Amino acid sequence: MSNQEQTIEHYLLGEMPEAECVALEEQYFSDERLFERIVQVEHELVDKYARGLLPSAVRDRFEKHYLAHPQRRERAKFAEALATKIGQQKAIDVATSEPTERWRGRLSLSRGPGWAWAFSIALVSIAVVAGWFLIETKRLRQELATTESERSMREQRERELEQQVTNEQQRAQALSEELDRLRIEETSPARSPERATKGAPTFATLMLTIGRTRTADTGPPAVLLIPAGTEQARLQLNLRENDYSSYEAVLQSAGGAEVFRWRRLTPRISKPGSTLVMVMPAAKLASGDYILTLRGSSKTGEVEDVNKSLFRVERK
Amino acid sequence: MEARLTAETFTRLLNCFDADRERAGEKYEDLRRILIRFFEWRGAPYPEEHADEAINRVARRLDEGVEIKNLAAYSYEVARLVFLETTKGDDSKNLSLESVKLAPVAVDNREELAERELRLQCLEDCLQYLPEQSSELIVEYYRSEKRGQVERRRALAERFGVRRDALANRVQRLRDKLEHCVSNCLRKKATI
Repeated sequence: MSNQEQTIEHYLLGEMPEAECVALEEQYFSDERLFERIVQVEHELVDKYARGLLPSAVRDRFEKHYLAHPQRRERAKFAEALATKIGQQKAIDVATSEPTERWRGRLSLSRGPGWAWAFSIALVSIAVVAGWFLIETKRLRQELATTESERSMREQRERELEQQVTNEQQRAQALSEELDRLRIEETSPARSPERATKGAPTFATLMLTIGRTRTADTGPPAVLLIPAGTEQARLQLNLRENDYSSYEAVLQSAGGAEVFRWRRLTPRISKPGSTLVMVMPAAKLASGDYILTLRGSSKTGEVEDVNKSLFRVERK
Repeated sequence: MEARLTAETFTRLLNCFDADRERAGEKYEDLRRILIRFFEWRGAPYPEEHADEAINRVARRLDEGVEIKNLAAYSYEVARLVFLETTKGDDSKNLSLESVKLAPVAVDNREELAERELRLQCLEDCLQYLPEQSSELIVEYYRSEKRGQVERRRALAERFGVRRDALANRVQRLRDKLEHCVSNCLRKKATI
């Protein structure tokens, strides 16, 4: 504190002798600058008191003399209010400018050349890594799409193979049945294709030739002679055309009643042509007229009539 | 105390300050401010009234034809006389208990708190009345941080295009104005 400030402080705290007070007062009535300096020291004194910054010795003297006067007490209270207001304003300023200051602080750290390099390298690295991620993501997506497509194709192929297996299984069963029938046929003596022979034959055979048309063959009906004791009747159909993958046949009496049915008949293919052989118990055939209907199954599963044959059975 | 100045006497007084009416008015206000402070610093009761009394006496002397060469020095002599009269004689009877040197009395904390709140509110209101630049100047000038205070005030002076001491004077006058405003505000709110 300067000499002048000390003098002023003494004056304000009532510690100056009367003569010196008069001398000072004569001075500041004529010297505006001195007067303003005294006012300034006074304000600093009350401001420090309001903020609790006065040394204790000065504070005691301040409270004893300065605050004894009501107008001066009001001035001290005003200083306190002003300090509070400025404190509130400072808090608002700090709250609004802190993020900016923080960023400014960070930026200021980066103002040095070393930091600028490091920052640039960091930026480039981030850009490179981001680019790699983009490319890798695209590649993985393409891979996924390809995998999905392959899986779909595999599933379709599996379904087709399953269908083929089913078809083959059905064909194998039909062949097996046909084989059984042929084995039975091989163990029995051969019969005349037109007439049953004398004695106790096991089979009575009737041979029919089937044409293209589906209508019953013209001419007198063929006759199947079944001697007494015959166990099996065999009907052999000679096919001029073999347009179907499998056949089925139905034997009806002249009255329309179904006598016997054969399913999944597969023709035997030989040099003269194709032959279908159907065997049935001879006991089911009483003397009388019969209609044999042949039906063919195409590869698509459609069934249609191929031929109807009329023949007579005579039992002896 | 004697009666107020007449218009004619007041005009003669202003002419004594300056031929220019506006500058005379400013000098009149400056003198009044010094007188009020003098009475306050000396511990006289009712500083404003005593300041006006001193001015009235000076004006009456001018009316009586007394030639005053140094108005400021003359005003001080009159003011000192008025002050001495307050410490003894007739005015001593008008001294309020408040003006007697007493140690600060402990007051009810609630009252004190309420008064502080009211004073703060009045300060807020009075700051609003000031031009924005002025209220900003006051707040910025009296910011509490010691660090950078000199630099801050130098920057303020540059911003307002004045010298540092002129800035200090401007701020002090603003502060006095604020004090006066707050005091009036408190008086008004107290009477409500």
